Amino acid sequence: MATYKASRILREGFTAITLSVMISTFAGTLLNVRLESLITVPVILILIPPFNDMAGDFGCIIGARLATALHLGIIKPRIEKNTYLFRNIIAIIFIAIISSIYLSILVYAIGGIMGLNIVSPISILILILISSILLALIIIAVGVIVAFISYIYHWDPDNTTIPILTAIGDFTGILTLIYVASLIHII
Amino acid sequence: MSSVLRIVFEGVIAQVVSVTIGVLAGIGLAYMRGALEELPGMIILVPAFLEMRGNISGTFASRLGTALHVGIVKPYVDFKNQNLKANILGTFTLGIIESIFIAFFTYVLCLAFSFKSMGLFNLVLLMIIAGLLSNIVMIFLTLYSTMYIYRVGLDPDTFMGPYITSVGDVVSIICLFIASYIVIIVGV
Repeated sequence: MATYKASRILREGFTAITLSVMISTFAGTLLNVRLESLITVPVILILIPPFNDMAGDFGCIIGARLATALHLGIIKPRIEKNTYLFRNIIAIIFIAIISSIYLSILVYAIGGIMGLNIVSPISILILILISSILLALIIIAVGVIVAFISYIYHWDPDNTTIPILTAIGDFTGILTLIYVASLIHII
Repeated sequence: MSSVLRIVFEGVIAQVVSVTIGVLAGIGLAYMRGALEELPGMIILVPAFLEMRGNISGTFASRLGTALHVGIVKPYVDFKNQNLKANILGTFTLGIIESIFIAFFTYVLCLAFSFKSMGLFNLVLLMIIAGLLSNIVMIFLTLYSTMYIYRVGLDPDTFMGPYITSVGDVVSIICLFIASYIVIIVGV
């Protein structure tokens, strides 16, 4: 019995993947604009893949939890004072802070081994900390909007939030990283 | 407050694992500086290529997990199995088509924003080589590790997603690295 058909895998995968690939290519153009600074300060290059992973993880955590909470009726799809949502936001910000400290130490150590450190450890920590908190806040805000709109229109938020948030995460991850790096004069 | 602590604890563990593997991909990217300068426009397609690999391998692993649970695929690699063949063929073709699409879209964006680019031929060549190499490595890696995880009694649906997308980042960067040198040598 053949349940899977290559043509169907191709057809269904194509639309979703093409969309996310297009958003990510726009993220790439942001990198291209600052290519010269990225080559002189390669620590930022090292940060790009882990930062995109982080953004994707934030998206998955907030997306999946919001979807479950909406299905269970713990939260209503409107903006109001809400303890459940507030707790989740606090938790994600804590995750961002702890992971940032870990990532800073890791990147600084590896930069040292590779002989790439021309940025002080404090600058790296400030860069990662500010941009990851900023990133977390943006992902939360977009996640809440996408989940609420999906729920109101009777789409399952479990299917919509994660693909949208991981693609937007790539773009905003790179945007916040480059913006904060130029703000504190690393690049 | 205890619920907050649990989310933080579980979230930090997941983050530490994916960020650590992500840094490995980042080191590869930092070593690619020469190629990034030599092949203008290449940096534009890096996030898209990683995103594509993560999506294609993630969905491949997820379908394999379902097929194993349902029982239409046995937990050993048998290329005569029609369901397995369809999955491999679909995944492979999707990888090549999306790679070529990334090359074209990157070229269009370079024109639109008047960025310097390595030219359409080199972009397509780069993406076909990187897509082909990463397809071969990732399809075999996903196939054998999903079967292995299932055989030892773990649920591939839980383990494969995060594992294969992080490992996929490292494999993709290495494949891009190799492809970029081939393009530098044989490209126009």
